[in-house]
This record gives sequence, C-alpha cells and structure tokens, in this order.
Amino acid sequence: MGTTKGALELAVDRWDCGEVPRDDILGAPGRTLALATGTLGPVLTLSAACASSAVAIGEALALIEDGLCDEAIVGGTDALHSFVYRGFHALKALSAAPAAPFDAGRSGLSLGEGAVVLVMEALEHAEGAGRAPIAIVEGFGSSTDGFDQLAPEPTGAGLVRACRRAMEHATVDAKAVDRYHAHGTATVQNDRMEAIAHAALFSGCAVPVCAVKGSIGHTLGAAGALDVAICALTLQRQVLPPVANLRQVDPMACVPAVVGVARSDRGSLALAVSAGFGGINAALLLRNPKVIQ
Amino acid sequence: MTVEPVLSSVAVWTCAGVWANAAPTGQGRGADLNSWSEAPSLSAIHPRARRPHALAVALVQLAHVLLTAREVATDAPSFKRQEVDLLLGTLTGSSAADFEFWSGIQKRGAAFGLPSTFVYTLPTAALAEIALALGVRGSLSTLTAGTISGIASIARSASRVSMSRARACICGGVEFARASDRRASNLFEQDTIALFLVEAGAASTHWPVVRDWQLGFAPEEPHRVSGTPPLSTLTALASAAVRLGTSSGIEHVFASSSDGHWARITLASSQHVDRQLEPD
Repeated sequence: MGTTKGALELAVDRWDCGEVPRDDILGAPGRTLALATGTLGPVLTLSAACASSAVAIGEALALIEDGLCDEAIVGGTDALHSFVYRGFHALKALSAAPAAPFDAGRSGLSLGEGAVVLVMEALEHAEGAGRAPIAIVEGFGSSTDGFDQLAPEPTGAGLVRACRRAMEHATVDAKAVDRYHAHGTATVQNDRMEAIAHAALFSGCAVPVCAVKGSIGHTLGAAGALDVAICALTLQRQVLPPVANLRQVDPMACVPAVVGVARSDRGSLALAVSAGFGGINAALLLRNPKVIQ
Repeated sequence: MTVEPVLSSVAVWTCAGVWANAAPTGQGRGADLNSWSEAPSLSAIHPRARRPHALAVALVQLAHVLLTAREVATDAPSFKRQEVDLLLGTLTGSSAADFEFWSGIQKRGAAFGLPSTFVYTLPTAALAEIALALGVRGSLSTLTAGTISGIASIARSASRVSMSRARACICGGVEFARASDRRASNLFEQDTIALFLVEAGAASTHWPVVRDWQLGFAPEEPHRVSGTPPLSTLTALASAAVRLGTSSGIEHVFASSSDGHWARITLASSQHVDRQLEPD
C-alpha cells in the first residue's frame, strides 16, 4: 500500500485527548486490507510522498518478478484530513479555483481524497486462470532529485532519470511510447519541470499528454496508483482523456496536452509518472495487451 | 542473472551510543538518542541545509558516517553515491514532526501552521535530506511492516541488489518519536537509527553476504503474539554482520511483530561462501 499519512486521524484523535498514540498509523490501511483479504504474503506499506502508490506498484512488480508472489493487491490511500489541508495552506500551494494542469491561467493545486486498489499478477498466472489483463506493467523506474524538499529539479533531470530506468527495465525506447500520463499538479514549478522533461525524453516529438488532477484533485499518496488505474483503463479503451480545466497551454510549460474533448488513440504503450516532495520521482510503463505490435 | 548482495557498512545510533562498523553494546537508559559529542557538524556535510528537523539532522549525520566508512575501504569495488537507493523501515514515520505541526496549530490557530515543520510531516522528508546532503540519487522511500519494518527494508534491499534493480541501497530502521518534552508515539520505547549499506559485491571482500531473506504475514500464528523487540533485532543483525566480517560462519536473524509481520535474514561470512565455492 502506498500512503503519505496512513490513518493519521488515529494519531490526531489521541493527541486531542492528551494521549500518545500506540497505533501503527502508517501501516493501518495496508494491514486492514490484508486482514480483510486473508493474504499471507508480505504486507508492506511504502511511503514516497506523492509517488507513494506508484512506488508501491513498483514494489509489487518486484515481488512478482522475484517469484515471491503470484498475485499482489496493491494500491494507495490518503484521507483529506484538516491537518493536511492546513499544511498545504501554510505552503501557499492551494488554488482558489479548481486545478488546471498546464493551463496558462492556473494558480496552484486542488487537494483531493481517494483510495485505489489494483490486483497485479504474473501474466502466466492470469492466463492460466482465464483472466484477461487490463494492462501489462512493462517497467518501473524511480529516482531522487536531491535538489530541494519542496521544489522539483527545474531541468527535470530526476524525472527523466526515473523514466529512462523504467524504459530500460522494459527494454523499450522512448520512440515506442504513445502517451505520457503526467503528474500534472497544476503548480507552476511542477508543470514547467514536466514540460522540460517531456521534451528531453521524447526529443521534441508530440507524444500526447494526459493528466487527471484537474478532475479529481491531488490525492497525494493515492495519486500514483490512481493515475495508473485511469491510464490503464483509457489505454484499454483506446481513448485519450482531455486535461480538465485546461483551456490555453502555458507557453512556458508547452506540452502536447489533450485539450477540450477526448480523442481516440490506437497507441499501445503509456508512460505514467509521479513526482513528489523531496524530489522523489517514479515512472511506470503500461502496455495494452490487445494491441498487436 | 542474480547478484550476491553484501553488507558493506553498518552504523547504529541508540540511547546507548553510536557505532560504525562495530557491534553495538550496552542497553542504555531513556528513550532518546544518546548525545553524540563527536557527531559530524551538519554545516560541514550539508552546507545547503536550512534548519532541518532534528530527526533529519541525526539521520544525515549517521548516513554520512555510514557512507564514509564504506568509502575508506580501499580493497573494495568502486562506489558511486548517485547509484545508491534509500529504503528505510519505520513504524513511527514522521510522528514527531506531525505532533509538532499539530501542536503549533493548536497554539497559533488553524491558519497558522508552520510550513517549515509541515515539510517534515512526510516520512520521507528526512531521507530526502540525506539525498540533498550526501548526493544519493537512487530510489527513495520508507517501508512500514509493523515492528519488523527495519529488517523488512533490509530484505527488500537485498532483493533489489540481487536482481540488479539497484547497485546499492541504504536500508535499516529509523524510529524517532521525540517531540520536545513529549513523545508523539508510543510505538517504540526507544529512538533508534540503524543503517546498513547493502550492495552488489564480490565474495572475496571481507563483507558478509546476505544469503537469504524471507518476508510474510501470519496474523493467526500464536508464537507471534509477543513479537520481537525491533531494536534488539536490528542491533543483533548489526552485531552478526560485524562478527562475520572477521570470522567464518553463518547467522540467522528472525523478527516478528505482534500484528503478524515476520522476516528472516541469513548472513554468511565471505570465507564461508569462498569455501562453498571451492571445487571438491
């Protein structure tokens, strides 16, 4: 499970009563899910800021590739607790208007709340059980900027490194990527960094850009897995969803974003990225198994 | 093709003292980390630091010692900090910073939270300070699995190195619940930082090999009711690693938590591995 704060409300409730928490705050969601599903494999909670659940998917992929699991239940969750809202307010990162990733008139991020759970399994295991996969997770890569606690490295070098690691893992070239599912927080720093990273990765080719935080807000630790779920489903349905609230692309964050309406797309390979506080980057490559290469 | 992961450096800081590539001794008293008069100054190793949280300062200081101890090994393969991953186990996470931020809001009002404290309410913020200070550029995350979080992070790091997903990984456990005169969490009785460097190595070095690692979850098993004290498990692993650096043998460390997590790590001395590799 990927999360930044776990079941934070358990701790705050105790502090409010003048007590000291004895609960496993971070691990509570994953452990609850494990008890509900009866899993006996490793129950791990990963925290990597806003890339938490993307990193959790990477870890699940590793467990399957290592042969330690046939299947992994993986996901992300973060509640929109007032603690978190007050923190982002203190950082002056919140927008009064709904988030508009890559838009020239954007003014910051919108916090969201969500949880997502995916089932990952070895392809042979799925096929043996007669299950058709929604998407194949081809590769995972991660990196750290080492630049700043809050701001991403402006050249996007750290994000590019994570993407290239994912592509190396999958042994695919950037030219094979058909869509880029952006982190897209709608902050000036993130959007401009991603635009530079996109240009560097794809050598200026117009690989279409999708982003969902204009629709659902930034769900923090859940965001990475939520992005992957949406990316996998839209890849399967061969549609490129538009970036909500995007009207005019910021010339300083100029990406070939999908504007206005959804459009059909027969591409098979998607790169979904996350970029969190602390300069933590993660990238996942997804393939539509039904598209013949 | 798998790679043999080795434990090339160990650094431990508890209420009883600080050890680098030496076996921790003594129990110590109290819940806080021991005062460390010879600690490297933060301004010297992290010139860009802007008043980090106390946990981040302590973590950067110990990680500096861990990496420096590795880098003085002249007979070892070359080592690049930018290729190192960070995967630290933690149960308490950022509870100390969480409590400070929450307390500040209670005192000053809901709209007046301190941004400089909020930054450290992410469990990874202190690790990110290591990346900033020491040039580590690999993957970065924390791992939580009850009171075996630290041991679990070592197991997963060994797996990363073994499968060539990482060249090296700083792993281990970090628990810090001190918040001025109060504790923010009672999950751990004593603050602890135990760092291990796992890397792809040659068996010809004197470093112990991480021979095997297993993780699981068994909430129904009665023998796991009490669980293993996390500090004792991490110091036991550190002691085993130091012993196997100078003598031949094999050692197992098992850890379990009262809520069902369990882990087992097997270390073997390089001499033990060499002997096994010799033809009959």
